[in-house]
Amino acid sequence: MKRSILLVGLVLVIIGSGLGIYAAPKYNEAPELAALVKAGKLPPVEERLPKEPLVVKPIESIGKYGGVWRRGFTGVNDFHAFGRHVYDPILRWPQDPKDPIQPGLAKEWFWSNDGKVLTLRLREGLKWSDGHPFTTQDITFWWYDIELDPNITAAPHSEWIVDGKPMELEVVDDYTIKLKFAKPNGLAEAVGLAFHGNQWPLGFERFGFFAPRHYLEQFHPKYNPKADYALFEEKALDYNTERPVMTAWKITEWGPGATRLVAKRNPYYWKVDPAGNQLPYIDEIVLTLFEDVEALNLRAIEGGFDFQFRRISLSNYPSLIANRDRYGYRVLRWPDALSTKSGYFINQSIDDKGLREIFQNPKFRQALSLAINREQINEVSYLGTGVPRSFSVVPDSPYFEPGTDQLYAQYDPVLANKLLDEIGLRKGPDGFRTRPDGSRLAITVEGTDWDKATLDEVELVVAAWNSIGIRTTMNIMSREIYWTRACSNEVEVAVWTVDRGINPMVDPIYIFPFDERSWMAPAFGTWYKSQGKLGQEPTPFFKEMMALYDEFRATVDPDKQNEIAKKLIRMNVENVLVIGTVGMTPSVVVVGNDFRNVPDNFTTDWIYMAPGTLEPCHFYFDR
Amino acid sequence: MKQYEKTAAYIKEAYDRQNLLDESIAHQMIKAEKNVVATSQWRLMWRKYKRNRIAVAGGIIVLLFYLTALFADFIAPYGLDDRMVQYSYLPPQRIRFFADGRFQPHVLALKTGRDPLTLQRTYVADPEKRIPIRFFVKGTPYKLMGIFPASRHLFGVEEGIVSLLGTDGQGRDMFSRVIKGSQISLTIGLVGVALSLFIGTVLGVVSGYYGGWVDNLVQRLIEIVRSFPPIPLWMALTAALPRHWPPLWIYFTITVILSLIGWTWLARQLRGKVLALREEDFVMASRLAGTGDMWIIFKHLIPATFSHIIVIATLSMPSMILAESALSFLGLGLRPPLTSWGVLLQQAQNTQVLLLYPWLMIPGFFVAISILAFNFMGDGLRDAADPYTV
Repeated sequence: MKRSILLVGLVLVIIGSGLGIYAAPKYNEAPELAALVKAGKLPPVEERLPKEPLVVKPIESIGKYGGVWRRGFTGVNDFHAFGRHVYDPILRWPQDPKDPIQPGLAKEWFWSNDGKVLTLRLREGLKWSDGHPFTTQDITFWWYDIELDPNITAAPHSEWIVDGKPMELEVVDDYTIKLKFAKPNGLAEAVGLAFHGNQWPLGFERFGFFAPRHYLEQFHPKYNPKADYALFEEKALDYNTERPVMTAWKITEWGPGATRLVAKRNPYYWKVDPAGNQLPYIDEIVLTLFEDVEALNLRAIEGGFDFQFRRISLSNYPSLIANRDRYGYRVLRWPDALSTKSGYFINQSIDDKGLREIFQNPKFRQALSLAINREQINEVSYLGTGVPRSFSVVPDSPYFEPGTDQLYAQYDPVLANKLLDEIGLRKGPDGFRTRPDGSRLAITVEGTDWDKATLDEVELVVAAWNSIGIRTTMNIMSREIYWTRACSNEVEVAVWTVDRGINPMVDPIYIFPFDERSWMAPAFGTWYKSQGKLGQEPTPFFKEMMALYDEFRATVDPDKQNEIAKKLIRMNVENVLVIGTVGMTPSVVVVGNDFRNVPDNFTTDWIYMAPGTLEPCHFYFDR
Repeated sequence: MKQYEKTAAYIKEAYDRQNLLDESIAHQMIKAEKNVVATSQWRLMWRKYKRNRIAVAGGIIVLLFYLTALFADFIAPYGLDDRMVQYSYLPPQRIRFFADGRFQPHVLALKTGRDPLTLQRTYVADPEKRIPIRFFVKGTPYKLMGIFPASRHLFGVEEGIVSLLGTDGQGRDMFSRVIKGSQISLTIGLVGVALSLFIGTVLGVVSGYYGGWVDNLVQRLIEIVRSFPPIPLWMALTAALPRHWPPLWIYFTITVILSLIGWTWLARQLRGKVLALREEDFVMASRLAGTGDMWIIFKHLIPATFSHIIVIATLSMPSMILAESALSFLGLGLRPPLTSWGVLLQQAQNTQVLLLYPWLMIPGFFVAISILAFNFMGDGLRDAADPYTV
């Protein structure tokens, strides 16, 4: 732990001395803000910025102020379309996933020697978008009045419960706070402060680490007997235009019936570029509402967006390329940290006893994996742009081990048939296999809301399994029904996009049965989550994985965590807990030719809130 | 005045001509002797129907469609699961009929690749390499009409691919899929119409025959059912189907749903017809002879309205086919792996198809043709159904 403190300190000193922050700071601001300062409506920029603003190192160059950033989204449920561009947690994910976690609202943090106390030091002089100081009071408000209030949060997030006890907070002063745990907490940094370290509630995600006490207290029933929780939720929600924020832009226009969402520059934003220009450069973000993804794609094709990262379908890539010169944009292909675009979860806790026995046999799962022609899927569904692979983390991940990504990923129907023969699934006269006891064997693949490419892929996989004699049908249903069925252990083979390929340990549902969303054995996951009260008792193999994860949680040593994570992932891949097909398919990004500071290559992932780590506040228009 | 005289003269002339014609027909009939009395109503209807050329054309098309559906496995060069992935998104191929001055239908071999810039599939025809189209070739084995195992297809190629309407993303031949899709799209009409005929006939005849509170009840029920706008009602009903049902169940349930709403039109028309018929002498005679209601309904009334029922059945076929297509298109009806025209269209509703692969919209053309054919045929039948009026 000392190493990371030293490192952070060193980086700060280098940045600080290099940019002369310790000398007399001289900051610039956007012309519209300068005018407000002149008119006496806003304090000068030096007073608005904290003592040590975060300095953003530009990806291309120092930018210019101004412009409206046009984008599209598909409605309230598409909150990430906005939320990920304004992602400002206590600690920040690094731009390169192999780097350590970076300072954010907190400028430094260190563990006690026994790993039980984490001290956070916030930047001094941080201010909310309404000018009110941001202090440790905003953290304690979140912890005591949101996270621990059962009316708002049913159960506190698991990273804050160690050994069955919730963490304790000790406020040292306005800028220093200590987080105390019963045992070493290996999840606090990455999960608690980086992934979940944002302003509560981040749309429908309902996680966070702070909230504006000075604004929300008046709506909280604890402080105002006239208020109720519904009102509190409404006022705390990200879409509330009155709510103060710590992000680069603040939503100023949105409400029922609105067809666009407008977010304007936050005059108190706490980041600057190396030349001392207060960020963000861009004045305003406008998100146009599209009911239909196809319409959004058409708008992108005709150059209607300045930078659009979400909801652009890979299948439209040819059309985008054909139109890019005409409408003046460039089309980037950012590799997505998808272990596999579609993962096939063979449910090992399925209620049907005979089926469960077959599903629990690793050879069966290996055979299913070997029967799939991944090159073909890549050609048909992903324009040849993906990578045929197993379910494993992507090479950019700190847990990647070469070779695991190709385990049982070759196309070998002969071996697949041999494996199935070996485990006693004999072929009948109709070419389909029966269970070892001679009764009919049929499996159903279930999924939801597939786009054309995914549907094509699933149909190919179903055909492949039929061709090795496993009678397979598929069934598509609406998302709500599918989700309920899958989580309640009713689906035999579930299909889902497996993201978080860089750091699956942050929410390890795809690695082992972690909770009911782990569809390789949801009943075992329920058992683990409820500590044995609900669900079904897992097999010894899964119990071993669960014990390993318990160990992972209980250490703050990154090397040891790394080792355990690698082992868990290897166990998963060797036993084909999830069948992967084609992963790392690109996210198609449409960027206007005059829109700068966007890298040509960048691995995206939702855990890392892509493109949040690119510091969208320093994107600018070169006009 | 002059105008009037002119018209009167014209009418008289026409009248005389008609008389002459009638006489000659009567003359011919007398010559044919037996036929004069033996010409049944069906024969008269057929004679009248034949005179309507468009209706005949419609009828022939409908017949062809159903024959194609019946022998779909034989006519389609490929099976539903034949994926020629190397030919995904192949545009419709040009069939060349002559080579070296002789009749020798063939397609050109294709060089496949991928454009490195746009990532789009490219196909270049190689004029040097001809692939002859053969008839009655061996291909994917199938069971004709689900019974007779066979493996000969009407036409096909021994290497490469022949694809009259192009292929979809998985390299499946669209021509084969359209033909196979017609099996479901056209039978859903048949089954659905049969069901709604049954409900409509029973309720309509009962309502017209008994009158009184029965009539009142049935008619109000019809009004209630008809007052719902059909598409939202179908949507609500199909949305309520358990989505984890196997596709075949969904198919039958959707048929039932479609017919549960489709019967009202028929019931109302039959009621009117029966209201008139029950006052006829033959009904009275039958009643005086002591027959029961059931006998009268099934022996007299329903046969008497038969021509009507057929007409209505034909005319409601298109709406059934359209309803299936519409529901599937909206993603509420049938779903893959079932293949119907609606399902094919549903898969074509995205930007890529519009911009890059327009041939995937071809099933829409087949829907339109079949609907038109049914409508023309139905119109012809309606005119022919009452052969005694001009």
